[in-house]
Amino acid sequence: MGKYIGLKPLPPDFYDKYPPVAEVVVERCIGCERCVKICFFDSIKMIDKVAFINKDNCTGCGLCFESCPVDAIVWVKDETWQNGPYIQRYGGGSVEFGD
Amino acid sequence: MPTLEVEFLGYRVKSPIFVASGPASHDVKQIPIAQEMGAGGVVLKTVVPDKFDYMRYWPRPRYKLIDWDKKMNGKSQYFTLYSYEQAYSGSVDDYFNFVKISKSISDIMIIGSAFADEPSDWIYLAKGIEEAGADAIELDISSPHKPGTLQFETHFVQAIKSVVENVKIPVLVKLAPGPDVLTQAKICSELGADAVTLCNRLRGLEIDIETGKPILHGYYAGVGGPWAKYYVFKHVSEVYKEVNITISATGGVLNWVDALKYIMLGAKTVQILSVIIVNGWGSIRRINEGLLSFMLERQIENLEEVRGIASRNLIEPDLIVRWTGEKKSGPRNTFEEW
Repeated sequence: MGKYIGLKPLPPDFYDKYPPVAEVVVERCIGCERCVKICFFDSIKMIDKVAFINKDNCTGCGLCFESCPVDAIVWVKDETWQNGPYIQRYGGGSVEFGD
Repeated sequence: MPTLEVEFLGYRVKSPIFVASGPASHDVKQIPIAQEMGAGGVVLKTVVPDKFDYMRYWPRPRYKLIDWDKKMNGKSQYFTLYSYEQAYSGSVDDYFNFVKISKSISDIMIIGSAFADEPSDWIYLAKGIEEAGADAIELDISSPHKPGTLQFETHFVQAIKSVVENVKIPVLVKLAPGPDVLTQAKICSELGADAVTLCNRLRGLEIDIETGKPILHGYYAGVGGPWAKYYVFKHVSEVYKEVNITISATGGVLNWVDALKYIMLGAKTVQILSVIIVNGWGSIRRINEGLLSFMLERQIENLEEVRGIASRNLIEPDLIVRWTGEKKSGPRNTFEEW
């Protein structure tokens, strides 16, 4: 218990500087195609029995990490990104949160 | 020959199984897939007015399947879908276009979904969705990802009223799982809403004990999963018995048995999403097939024959058959005395 399977509980270190996208470690991939089935953004294709992630389509949702039985998916930086991250500033706590 | 066709808000739909608003309905490419798999309709991802622009930007990563054993290949019976993905990522005009294309390339029911706070924004979104050709509109007033509380706030009353007055298509209201779903459903019915969707996911929080930080994006997230169905069963039953309003049920459907339970409790349609995420689009087909084989076996021609049966079998608390807890006062008989 307390051990996470798949996606690590915290985002990668660079998540506030570059948008994280997923990448397949080719040596580890067993070609089970589970990540292809779970991706909702048409980002993953099988090429020569190995999953390949199209970084332009990847929105970094993290679902493929959850489906991979051999932990073959890792985070990489999308360095082609031009804009900084979008952070919403709540304006001195004027918005009340919570249930 | 049994049929899954149901009459829903004036439309004849092929199946009571709908795709719920979320990642499985954010793109036009997904609509033909849903149709091919046999969904009766799709609730599109929720759109927000420009004021809530930040909700169109999503954190990375934002999905976590807690307690999901991926080595079991989709056989986990209990897991939690923990996620924080707010609204449709495009502009409002993109969304209207999305509705229009979705409608033109499919013949299943297309339901637009919107969230706003000012009545004027609600009306703008609702009218746009209607003009784009949607068959109905769902007012997502209870998303776990929305800013503010999950209470049924007073301005929603005004919002529902103004949308109902301004559009001709049916209006569904998606309610939070609490508190007091029954009263909320009664208010929706009085305000003229055509249906209620029961229930949205809960807002929850998971933390990492190694670092003491909330996981993923670091804030509350939506939580749902197969464990969540039991309280929705109760809400569906309660609303079915007390309020004269169409019910679209959603929450924790993993297989056809859960879908059938919702129908037996009085729901017209059942929206699914978590199961599509974990087991793929084929889940829709498998649920349809499961329902059909059940109907064939029991010689049920139409789902209307079983709709609400379990809610009607519910008994009042004062009619529950009860027996005394203790046969007599004082110490219990010891084993030797039996």
